[in-house]
Amino acid sequence: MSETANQKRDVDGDTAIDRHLEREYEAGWVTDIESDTLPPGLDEDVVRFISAKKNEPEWMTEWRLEAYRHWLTMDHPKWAHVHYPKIDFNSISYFSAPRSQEDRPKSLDEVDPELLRTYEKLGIPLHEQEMLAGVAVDAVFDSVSVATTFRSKLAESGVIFCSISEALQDYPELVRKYMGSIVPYRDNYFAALNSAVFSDGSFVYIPEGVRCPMELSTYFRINAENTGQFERTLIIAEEGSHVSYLEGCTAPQRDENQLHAAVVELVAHKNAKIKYSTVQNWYPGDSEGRGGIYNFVTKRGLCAGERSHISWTQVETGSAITWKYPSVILRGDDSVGEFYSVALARGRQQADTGTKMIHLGKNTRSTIISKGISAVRAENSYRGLVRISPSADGARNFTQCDSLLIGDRCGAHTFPYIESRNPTATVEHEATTSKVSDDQLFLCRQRGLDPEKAVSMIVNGFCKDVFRELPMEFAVEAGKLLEISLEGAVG
Amino acid sequence: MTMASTLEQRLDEFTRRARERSEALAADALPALAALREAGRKTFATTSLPGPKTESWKYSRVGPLLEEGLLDRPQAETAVPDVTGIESFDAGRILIVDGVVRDLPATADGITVTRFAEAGAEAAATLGRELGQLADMSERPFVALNSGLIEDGVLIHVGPDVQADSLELVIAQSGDAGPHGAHPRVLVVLETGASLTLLERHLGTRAVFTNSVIEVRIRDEARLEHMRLQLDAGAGRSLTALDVAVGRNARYDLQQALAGSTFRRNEIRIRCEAPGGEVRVGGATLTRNRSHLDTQMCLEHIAPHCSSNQVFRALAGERSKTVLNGRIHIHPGAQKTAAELSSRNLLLSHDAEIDTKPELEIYADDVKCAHGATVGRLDERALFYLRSRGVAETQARMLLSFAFLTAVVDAFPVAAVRDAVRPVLEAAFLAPAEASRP
Repeated sequence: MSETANQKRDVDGDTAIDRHLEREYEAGWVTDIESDTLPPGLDEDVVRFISAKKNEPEWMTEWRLEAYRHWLTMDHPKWAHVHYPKIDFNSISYFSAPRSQEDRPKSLDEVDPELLRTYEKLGIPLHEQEMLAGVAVDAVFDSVSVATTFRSKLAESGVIFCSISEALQDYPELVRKYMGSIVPYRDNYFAALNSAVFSDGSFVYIPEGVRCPMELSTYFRINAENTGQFERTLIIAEEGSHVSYLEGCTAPQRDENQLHAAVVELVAHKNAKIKYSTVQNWYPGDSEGRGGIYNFVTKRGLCAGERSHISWTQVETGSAITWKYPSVILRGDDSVGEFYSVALARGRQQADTGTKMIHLGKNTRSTIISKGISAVRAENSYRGLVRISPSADGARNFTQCDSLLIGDRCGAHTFPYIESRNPTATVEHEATTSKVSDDQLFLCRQRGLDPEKAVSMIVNGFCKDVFRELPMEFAVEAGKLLEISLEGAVG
Repeated sequence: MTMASTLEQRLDEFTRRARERSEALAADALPALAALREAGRKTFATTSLPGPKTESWKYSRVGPLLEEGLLDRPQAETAVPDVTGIESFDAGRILIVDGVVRDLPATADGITVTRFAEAGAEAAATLGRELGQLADMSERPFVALNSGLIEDGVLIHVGPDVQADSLELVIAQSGDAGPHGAHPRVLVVLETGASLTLLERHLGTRAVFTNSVIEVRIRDEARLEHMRLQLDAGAGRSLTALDVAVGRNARYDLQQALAGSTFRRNEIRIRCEAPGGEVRVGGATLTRNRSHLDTQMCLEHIAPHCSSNQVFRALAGERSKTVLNGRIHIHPGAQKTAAELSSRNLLLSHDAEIDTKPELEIYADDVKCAHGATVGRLDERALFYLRSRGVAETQARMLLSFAFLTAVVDAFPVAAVRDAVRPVLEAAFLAPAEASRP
C-alpha cells in the first residue's frame, strides 16, 4: 500500500513539459511495480499505469489519456429509462490482479447452492461448473491445450484471434488503424470511460476471402481474469470473409465488478459478413433489487464495403441494469444490417436496449426483431433509431418489436425513433404489447401442462424468431435459460 | 438583438422580456385569473426554454419563436378580419383575433359561452374550479408563458345532459397588427351527459406568434366531437397546447387536418381518467415548401377499461418537415386497456424529412397495445396502373395521395366539414412549389 502511495506521489510530480523524461520514467516505473493492484480512484496516472502495465505503444497511451480528458468534460447520461444510484467512479479500482487462490471457494460445496442448481439444469459438466464458479483448482482442466489447438487451426487459415493486449504487441498497426474508428471515445460517456481504462478484450482479424473455419467464442479464449469490466472487442472482416463470433455463455458467471462498460467495434469490408451473438446472464441482483451488475455497453458495426453484412443477435437475461444498443452503420451500397434480440427482465431488473440502423448507402437493408419480456417488477424498454439519410436511395427497413408482460407490476416500453430523409426508402415499424393470453394458457393446461411449463412454452414460441438466428448450441441453451429465468415469475 | 447573438442569449432575452411583460400586467379582479397568472409567472421563471438538447424538442427548433417583436402586445384596436364560415355547417362563432376575444355567440339554454372577464357568478365558480387544472405547466414553458400573460379567455360550459348546438372556435390574426405574440386561452367543460360538436380553426399566414392553450374537461357520459383545422401555411408561428380529461364512459373524438407553417407545433395530452372512456384521434397532414409541423401526442390511460385509437397520415413535400411523437402511456392498474396508434407517412420530395416516434410506456399487464409506423413513397405500380389508363401523372399522384389521407378525412364526424376540407387540401397539394430561397 505504502509502496503504491509512494509511486503515486512520484508520478504526481510529473509535468507535461518534459515528454521524454516522462516516457523514460514510465518505462522504469513499470519494472518498479511490485503491487499489481491500484487503489480505487481514477486520474491520469491510473490511465498511464494501466497502459504501462500492458507495455502499450505511446500512441495508445496518448489515446487513452485523450479519452480520459474528454470523459471528464462529459455528463452522466440520463435519458435511458433506468434508475440507479449515482455511480462513484472514484470508488472503483481500475486495475487489479487476479484474485488469489485463498479468496476463492475451495470446492463446489462452498458455492451458492442456487447457482449449482442452475448449472445442473443447464447441463454444465462438473469441471466447467468449477471454472465458472471461480473455484480454486490446481489444474484448471485442459482449457489451455484446447485453446492452443484452436489457435493453430485458426492460424492455418490466417485468422488472428487473440486478446487486445497481445494484438497491441503483435499487430499494432491493425489495432491503430481500426480502434476507435467505429466507436470514437467522444461517442458517449461510457465509451469514453472504456477508452481510457479498458483492461483487455478480444481482437479478431479475418483476412480477405477467408471463411473462418469455426465459430469464435470468448469462452475458449483464455482471458486474464478480471478483464470483463472494461472489455474492448475489435473484429475486422476483410473483403469477402466470413466470421461468426459468440460472446458470453448461458451460465451465470461469478463476477466481482458491479460496473461493466464494454465497447465492441466491428468492421465488415466488401462482401464480408460478421455475425455476432451474445448471451448475457450476469448477476441481476436479489429480488429486492440489491446488488447486480450494471451493464453499459456500446456495440457498433460498420458495413464499410458494398454488400457487407453485419448481424447482431442477443439474448439478455442477466444484469440489474442493461443499457445497450448494438448498432450498424450501413455505408456500403447494398449492405445489410440485422438485429435480433430477446431481452428478459424479471425481479427488479431494468433493461433499456435496442439498436440503431444508420442507412447511408444505396439499397441498404436492415431488419430489427426485438422481443421484450417483463416479469414481476421489472422494467424493459426497447429504444431504437432508424435513420435514412438523403443518400440512402432505395433503403429498406423492417422493425418489429413485441413485448410480453407477466405480472401486473412490471413495465414494458417502446421508444422507436424513425427519421427518414429519402423518399425512395421504405421504413416499416410495428410494435405490440400484450400479456400471455388466457386462451393460450388454457389450451396448454387442458392438455396437461402445468402453468409454469405452459408459460415457458408460450414464451419460447414468442422468442422463436430470434432463437432461430442463434448458432444451434446457443439456441438450445437460450431456450433452457429462459425457462429457468422465468421460474417463480409465474403463478 | 443582433444576428450574432447565440441561442442562449436569445433564450435569456426572451425570458427576461416575458417576465417584464407579465409583471407589467394590471392586477386582475378575477381570483382564478390572478392565481393562474401568478403560477404561470413563477413556473416560467424556474423552467428553462427548450434548448437543442431538450428531448421533446429534438426535431423542433425554438428559434422562429424568439424573433424580434414576437413577445409584444398586439396593437389595441385592430380590424376584425372577415372570416367566411363553412358551407352548410351552422355553428355559433367564437372569434379570437390576435389573442383578443372579439365575438361570441348568443347564449342558449344550458350553454354558457363567455369571456373570462365577463364571467357571471356561476361561470366564475367553474373557472375557479377548472382553469389551469389540466394544462400542466411543468416542463412546458410556453404553457407557463400563456398562463403568466393571461388577461382574458373564453369559457365554454355545457350543462348536464344538454345536447348543445355546434360551436366554431376561430383563432385568427388581424391583417394590420405588426409582429406580436398572442396567447389565447380557452376552457371547455362538458358536464355529465352533455354533448357538443366543436370546430376549431386557426387562420392567418403572418409572422406572428400564437401560443394557444385549450383545456377540455369531459365529465362522465359526456361526448365531445372536436375538429381542428390548421390549413393556413405561411409565416405563422403557432404553438397549441390541448389538454383533455375524459371521464367515465365519456367519449372524445378529435379529428385534425393540418398544414405546416414556418413553425407549427401542437402538444396534445389526453387523459382517460375513469373507466369506460373512449378516445379517437385522427390527423391528416400536408406540409410543403419550407414548412414545419410537429405533433406531440400523449395519450394517458390512467383508469382501466378504456380504449383509444389514433390514426395519423402525413404527406411531406419540398423541404418541409413533419414530426410526430405519438406516446401511449398505460399507468399501473389501467387493466383491460386497448390502445392503438398508426402513423403512416409519405415523402413527396428528396429534401423533405419525416421524423416519427410512436412510443409505448406500459405499466399494466392485461392490456392490448399496438403501434405501427411506416415511411415511404407512393407505390410506383399503382401510379403506373393509373397512368396506363390515361390519368395524367399529377392527377394520378393526387388521387393516390388523397386515397392515403382518406382514412383520416373520412373520419371527420360532420359531412359539411369533410367536404370543406377536401378541396382545401387538394388545392394545397396542387399549388406550385414556392421558389426556394437561397
